[in-house]
Amino acid sequence: MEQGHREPIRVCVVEAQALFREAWSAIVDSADMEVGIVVGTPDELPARSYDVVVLDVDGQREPCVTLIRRVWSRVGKVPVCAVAMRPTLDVLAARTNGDAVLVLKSAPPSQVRAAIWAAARRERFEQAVAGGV
Amino acid sequence: MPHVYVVEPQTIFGPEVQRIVGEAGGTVSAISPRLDLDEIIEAAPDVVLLDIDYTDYDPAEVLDALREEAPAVRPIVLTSERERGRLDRFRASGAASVVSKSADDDEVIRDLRLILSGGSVWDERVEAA
Repeated sequence: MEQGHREPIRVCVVEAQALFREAWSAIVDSADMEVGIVVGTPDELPARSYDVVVLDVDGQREPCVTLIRRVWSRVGKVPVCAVAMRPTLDVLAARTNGDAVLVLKSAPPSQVRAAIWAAARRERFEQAVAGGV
Repeated sequence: MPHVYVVEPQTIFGPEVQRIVGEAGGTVSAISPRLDLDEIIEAAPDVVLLDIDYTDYDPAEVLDALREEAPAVRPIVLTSERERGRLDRFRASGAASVVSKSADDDEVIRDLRLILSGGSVWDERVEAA
């Protein structure tokens, strides 16, 4: 899965909970990917290119689909990996529409990284949880 | 070192909460994604750190139950909640402190250090809302 690439992919994270912004480096950073920047909302994204944007939808004030549109309006149509506590209809719709890969927060870090990797490569990702996502 | 029982539904952030509690001078005796009052009573921690966001229960009711069934345990509420009325309800139900997730980790470590040494914090981000 994570072989054959020399440069780690550049990951940008949108995380509303300031307390957990530092946590993302520990979750994401590996030989294949690294966190470049963590911001609170899509509107805070610096207008530059990223390989993938990780979007924690919990704690944001808008629906997932709207948040993704805001990300794209800032940085172009970059792949998005949505992270959520629960597979709500709103979040599932974003996945069904092909706007984002979805991973739940119950996933271990290795699965979160796999989801980010899949999003960056515009591949599908199925989380291995009881009952599926 | 005070023993801290952590309820963090966002399991992906569990290790970060553990790190923060450790840096604040506490020892995480258990960390759980779900609230289980019986388990907390059995663990008999000094402090329960409750992330009340994204849970299926009413936090105020849980605080009421904790106060009744485990009065020696000091509950700390961790939340992004900013509604004043809700904060007042937590306080009335026996929350020892409220810590805001809108604070960065250094601020939360500082607040927790104060709380774990017996002080109380009512985060101004919550109060100001």
